[in-house]
Amino acid sequence: MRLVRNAFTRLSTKLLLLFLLLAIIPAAVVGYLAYDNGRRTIERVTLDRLDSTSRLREAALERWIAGSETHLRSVASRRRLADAAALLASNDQADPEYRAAHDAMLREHLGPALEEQGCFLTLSIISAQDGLILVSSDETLEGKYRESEPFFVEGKARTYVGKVSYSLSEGGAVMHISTPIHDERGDVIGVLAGHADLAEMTEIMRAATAVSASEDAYLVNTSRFFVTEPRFGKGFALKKAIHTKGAEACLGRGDGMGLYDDYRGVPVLGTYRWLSERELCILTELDQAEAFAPIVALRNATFAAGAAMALCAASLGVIFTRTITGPVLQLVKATEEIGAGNLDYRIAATARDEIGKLAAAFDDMTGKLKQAEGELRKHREHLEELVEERAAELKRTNEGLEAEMVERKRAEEQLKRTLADLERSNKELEQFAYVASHDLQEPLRMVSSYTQLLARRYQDQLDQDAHEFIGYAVDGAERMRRLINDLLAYSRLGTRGKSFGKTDSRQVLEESLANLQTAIGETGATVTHDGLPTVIADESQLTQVFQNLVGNAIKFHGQAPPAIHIGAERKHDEWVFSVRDNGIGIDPQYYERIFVIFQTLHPRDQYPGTGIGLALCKRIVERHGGRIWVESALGEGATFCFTIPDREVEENE
Amino acid sequence: MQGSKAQESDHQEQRIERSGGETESQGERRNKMRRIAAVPWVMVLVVMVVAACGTPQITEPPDEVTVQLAWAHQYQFAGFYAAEQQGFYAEEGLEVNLLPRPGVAVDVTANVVDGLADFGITFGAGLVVDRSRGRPVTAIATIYRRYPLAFMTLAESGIARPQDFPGHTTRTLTPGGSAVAFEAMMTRLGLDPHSVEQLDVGYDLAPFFAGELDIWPGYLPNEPLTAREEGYDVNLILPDDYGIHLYGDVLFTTDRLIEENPDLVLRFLRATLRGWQWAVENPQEAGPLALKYDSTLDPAQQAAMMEASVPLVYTGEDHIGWMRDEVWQGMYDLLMEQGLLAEPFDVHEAYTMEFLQEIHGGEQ
Repeated sequence: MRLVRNAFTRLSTKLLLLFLLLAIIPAAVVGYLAYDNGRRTIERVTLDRLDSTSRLREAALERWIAGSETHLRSVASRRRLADAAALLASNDQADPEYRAAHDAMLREHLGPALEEQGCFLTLSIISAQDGLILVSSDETLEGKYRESEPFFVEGKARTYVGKVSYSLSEGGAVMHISTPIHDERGDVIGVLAGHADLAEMTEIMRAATAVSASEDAYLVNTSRFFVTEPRFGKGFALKKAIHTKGAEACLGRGDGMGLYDDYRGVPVLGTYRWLSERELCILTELDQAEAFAPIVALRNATFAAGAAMALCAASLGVIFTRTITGPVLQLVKATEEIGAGNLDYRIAATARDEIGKLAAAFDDMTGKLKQAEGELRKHREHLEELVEERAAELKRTNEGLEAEMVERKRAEEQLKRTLADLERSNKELEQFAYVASHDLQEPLRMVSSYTQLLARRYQDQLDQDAHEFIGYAVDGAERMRRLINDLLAYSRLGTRGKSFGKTDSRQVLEESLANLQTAIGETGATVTHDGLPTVIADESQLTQVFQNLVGNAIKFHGQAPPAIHIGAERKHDEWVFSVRDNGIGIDPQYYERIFVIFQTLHPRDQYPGTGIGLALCKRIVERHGGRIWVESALGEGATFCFTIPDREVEENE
Repeated sequence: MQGSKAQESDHQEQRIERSGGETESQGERRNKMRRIAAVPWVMVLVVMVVAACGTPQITEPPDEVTVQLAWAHQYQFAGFYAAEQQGFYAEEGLEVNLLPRPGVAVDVTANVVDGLADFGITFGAGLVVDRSRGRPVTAIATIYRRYPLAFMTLAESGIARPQDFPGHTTRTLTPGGSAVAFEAMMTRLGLDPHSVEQLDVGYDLAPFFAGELDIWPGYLPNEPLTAREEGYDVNLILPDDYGIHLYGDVLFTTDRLIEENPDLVLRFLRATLRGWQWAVENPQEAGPLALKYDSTLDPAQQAAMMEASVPLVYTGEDHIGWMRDEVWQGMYDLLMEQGLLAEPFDVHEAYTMEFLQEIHGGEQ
């Protein structure tokens, strides 16, 4: 019954899908083409517009600067101003005439000049002789010197526009424009310097940006700092640096445009221009969200229209299927009835078309089916009895199994919790060891550095004993430094391990032998090895294991020069590596102890070392899922063995 | 119907297009841009091929470098902390130890000359004096481009300029430090440096606020902040305004290290300057970095002092660390005038632009 219905639903679904596709595909294609085209057009138009406003701003900035320069020059060229400046430059301050000339200068020249054109915040006259500010509209500046400032040095020779820089005495970012003041003979007597209003520069950059919700324009200097305030930031001038792709490209001394993230991290369309004369970048940017809003709206509309069309098509499809498949439905109903066991059902079709004939044949078939069904029922009843018996048996077994599963799961969870606890406390311990040893380094260095300094600085004043004591102190500090370093290395094994990869153990061995070259040369050691396999391991850690084991074999040699053999053997699913030597050997009672950190069997002066090597090896091998042990007897050499599981695939810890 | 995700991805395209001169037409420029847009992919491929061929298997152990700081750990060395904690030193293959100066008894220059440290930080004028004594040290960059010394007076005292100083009292001036700047400033203005009496009152500001002495020689990021916090209106008289231009902290090393291992010096300086750039851009985060070395410091105070130090390090004129000939010459002349130099010498020997020029490509 289910089957028949599914077949039919699939048929109508297919029809419906066909209608839907017919509606959606053209809509989507047209929509996409329009969207893509529109987006590109908008991008081009917007960038062009930003570029031209950028040029306009540059022009406005230059106009503003040129205007300021002209204004300044015209003020400086006033005969009476020059005369007054000459008087101030040459006269003594105590002179009553000086005060009068000073006040007159402010009243008649600087004051009105400031008001005539609002581009300056402060105007000052600086003596050409020594850079002393003779008179200034900002009284606190008078008496100060500007002898090394570029706007003074350059301003004596020509009209000069300074860089935006931070002034300590004025407590903020400033830009100075300056021009020389000449006397009647044409000699320079002073410099007229204006402190330009940076807010106006910001203003110029922002002009006409208000029409858009996000258009932004600002200047950036060669050290990547903002020079004017951007739209979405306050107090950025000379305080905040910018690292956008646009600024980066512009500071490469170029012009251009592009799509990138701006200083807020917002995607923008931007253009940038390098102002070579000012050594500044001008950036003009517009949020992509704003620029592309119209095309997004268009896309949404297309989607909506497409959806509406699809809905129409779907309705049409539904109506269409109904009319065509009405008779078929009747047949389906009959099939369902028969399927449900009602073999007396008849269609009694009236239609004379193909479906009518089909219905008649169907009725005939139903009659025959009814006969056969009686026979079948008998057989089935017997079969059912048998099946029921078996099922009951199966159920019993199942229940037993289930109970066991629950038990196991509980045990497993218990184990997992314990493991997690263990892992966490292990991690904490490692972290502690790392932090502790790291933090111990510095005070220790101080102790050792200053003790050495003491010895060196007071060499002649200290007696033999003192030098000896200092020696002990330095020696102790040095030993502690080594212990801490070892502890650091030990704790790092857990926290800073690399992931495992295919590692050629022969190459690794050669690498560690290269590191041991000096020791091998000094003792005349011979090192041989079997064929070595490729294993899955952390290469640098495996190098360390070999280096430590071979290094130990060399260090603890007997009378004869050390002879060391490295072997590898595959047992079950792991590789067993062995490092055999002919050295002094190890008493079996110490087999465990030698793998414990900072445990040494010999006095320090006999065999130097902190006792970290084997502890490191043990941790590394265990991190790889292997074991490490030693086979030896005192005086008969030792064989250190360790295993690395033979894994097929690379995997992380 | 369409998810907001689709909308976002539409806006997050990243492209940068460059064009050369202004004379190109828009069309030409766009063509060029398209060609340039393909370049990154080619470069990525090349880099991948090169990387695949020549990846070194074992990285070299880092070079260990020790720096003798000019004082105890604090915001003053934020750029060094930043270089360390942001991994800039590690990227240059360096492991850097920062050695604090536990007290004035420790001679920073001597520690570097003696080889206890590879680099040192000291007062610019101090380095000139050291050099005149024949100590083989050379500055490679100046961290504090302006000497942050400020003579602080209470606004109500009416002392607003050096000319008002004579007849008043100041806290003891540090020989070789604030005393140099003070004497130079007074002499330049034709005033007698001895017309101001020095009182030994320690480092507590209370007597100053109480009016027991008139002038407090302090550092811009420090005492003036305290005074304003306590609600006092103060005047700050800066030697910088009276022709005295001194470099604050300069970074130096020995002539020998420059000669024997210039690459190490270059790498160290490059990472250090990156650290300072970071500190200047992020003063609020950079100040408290000092807490890693001294957990007793107050993070908010360190942040505020770093913020106040920004204009001393980055002035807007040159790159961070940049040095100017005229300032070095000025320091030399001033010390010479005061008779503080043991032997006359060519001040160019006291500093080198070699590494700064290498890092910044010769431009200021």
